[in-house]
Amino acid sequence: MSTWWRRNRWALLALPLVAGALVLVGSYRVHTFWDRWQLTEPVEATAGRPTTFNDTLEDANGSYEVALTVEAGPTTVAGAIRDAEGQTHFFPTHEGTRVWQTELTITADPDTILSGCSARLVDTEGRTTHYTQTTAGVPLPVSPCVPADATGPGAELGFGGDATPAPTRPETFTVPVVFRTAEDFVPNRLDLSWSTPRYLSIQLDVEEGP
Amino acid sequence: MSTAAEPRGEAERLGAFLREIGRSVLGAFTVVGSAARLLAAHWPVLVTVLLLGALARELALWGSFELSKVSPVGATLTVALAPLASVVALILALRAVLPSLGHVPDSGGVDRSRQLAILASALVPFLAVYAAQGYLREDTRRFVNETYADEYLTTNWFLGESADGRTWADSPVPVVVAVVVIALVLRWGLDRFGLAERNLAWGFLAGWVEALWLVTVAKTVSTGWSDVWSWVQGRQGVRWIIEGWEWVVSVLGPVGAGIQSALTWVLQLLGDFDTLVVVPLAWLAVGAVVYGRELATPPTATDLSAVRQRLVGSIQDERVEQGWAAARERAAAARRRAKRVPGWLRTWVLAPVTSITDRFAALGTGLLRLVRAGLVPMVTLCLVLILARHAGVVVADLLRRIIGPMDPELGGITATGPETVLSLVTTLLMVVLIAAAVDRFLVEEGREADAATSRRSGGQANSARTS
Repeated sequence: MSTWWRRNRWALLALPLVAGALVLVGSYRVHTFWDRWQLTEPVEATAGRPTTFNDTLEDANGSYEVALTVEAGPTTVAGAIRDAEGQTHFFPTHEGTRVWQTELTITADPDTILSGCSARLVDTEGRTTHYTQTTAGVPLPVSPCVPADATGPGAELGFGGDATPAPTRPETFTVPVVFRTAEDFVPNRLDLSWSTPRYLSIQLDVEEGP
Repeated sequence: MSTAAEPRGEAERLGAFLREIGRSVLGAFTVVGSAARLLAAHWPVLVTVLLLGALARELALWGSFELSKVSPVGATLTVALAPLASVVALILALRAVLPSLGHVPDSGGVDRSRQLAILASALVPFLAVYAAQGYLREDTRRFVNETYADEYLTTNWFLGESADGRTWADSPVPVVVAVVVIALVLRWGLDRFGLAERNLAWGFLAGWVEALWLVTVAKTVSTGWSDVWSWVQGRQGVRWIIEGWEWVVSVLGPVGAGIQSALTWVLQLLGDFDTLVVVPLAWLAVGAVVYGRELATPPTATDLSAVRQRLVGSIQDERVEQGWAAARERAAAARRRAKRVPGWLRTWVLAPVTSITDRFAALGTGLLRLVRAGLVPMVTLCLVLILARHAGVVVADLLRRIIGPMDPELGGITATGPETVLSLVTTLLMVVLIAAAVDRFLVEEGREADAATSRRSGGQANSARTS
């Protein structure tokens, strides 16, 4: 055995173990600051098939359960949207962008708190576009997962406020979810979440059209 | 006749100077070559040792983070282990290449407890260098950042919850004072009885207390200094001076802008002085401390004269000589007066001073060894070491290409991974370069310098006898 091997053999054996241990120990930062606070636990779903999703959330009154079944329709490029009063709003055109729409059919106990939902589109390259009320250019509901005119109960955030109960939400309803994206953005997934880290990840059925 | 001899003497001096520069540049290349050989011969051991240090550091930081949830003071005590882990790894890495150093004798014959004592005694001086490079600040900054980030994320701000204080700064004053007093007493006790050099456990405790000292008190002092400086800058008189200067610059127009730029450049240059000179020299000094026990002839107080001769030997100014002699006389008088004070009283009175000076005595000895090797080799080496420290830029670019774009938040969280790789590469290069440099310049050239000095002193003695 040469001097080099004799001198370094134990180090060579230990090296991968030490490197592995270092990665393992160093990953506490990812666990502490990322895993719990980002969407890292997907519940997989596919457009056209109803999927059940549940999560445990917390508000000022304590913890509560969210349980619902979601079925996503086809995802298409949209030119207009009809609001709760049946009025049609045309999306303004902006060069280099498109507006995508997916209809979600949701079934849930009317007493379940569903407002406060977040939605994001993910394209085939992993780029994300988040749902906002304003970017489409027409008034959209704050929460994309409940009907604008019948949101049902909301979470107690501890601010107090008026005690007027929200209009009762039907057990099953359909809501359009609208995103304005870059023109080359082709949706692949729609992610719905009420908290982190659990979320519903729906594989979309995209119809790009003409 | 003397007029013909003077230019010849000047030419000889210039020739000698150029030869010296050529020799040091060649020496620097030799050092780089030796460092490459050391790296090839020892890289598995060096990488494993440095990774073990990084692992221990991560464990200390993680443990402190978790502990801070229940005890901020306890977490402050354990976070001081993070720099200590890195420093122990650095010293062990420097010692690992010892068998391949041509001129530093191998410590194979030295018994294990002695080797551990050497490690223990090098901990404290190395911590000073570690702190000087900002690594210590980085350790504490990361701990504080993590605790605050965790509080920010886990506190339900909507429900009126407030974040808990989880760092030293949030601890009750009596607890802080008690910890500082205990640390001071321990520090003094370890110094007083010279425990740090007896065995590894004491040495480690000394290192820990020192790190704790640097993490807590030194941090408080530096924060206090910043506050004082802010206060000074906020005084009306100082404001007038600053505004007056700004007015002068504006009145002078383009000339004023030029002066302002030149001044900024000079200030920046002074600010970079520690990076360019102090840090490489400190590294070399620490190398000298780590290998110090193996060096054949430790420098003594009389070496100061030799150092002076090497540094300012060409200056033959009578007033400087007189000043030097007067200073020597004053120092001797002070020593004589101090001897009149009873020994026990002298020890107790001087303890707070020696407690601080002893910390840097080893570094001072290391620096003395450096200066004995000559100024030009040191400057050349400083340049090589700066290049090694900046090798991180190349590695960073490589890592950037490998990792690719990522979510900025996730990038921030996982940044410690690439930082560890960067630190590993630069530290690896520094370790082999320092080892090779100490071997080449401090031992070999030191011996040559000793030989030259003894030849000179022999010659002077002969001429004195002849006269």
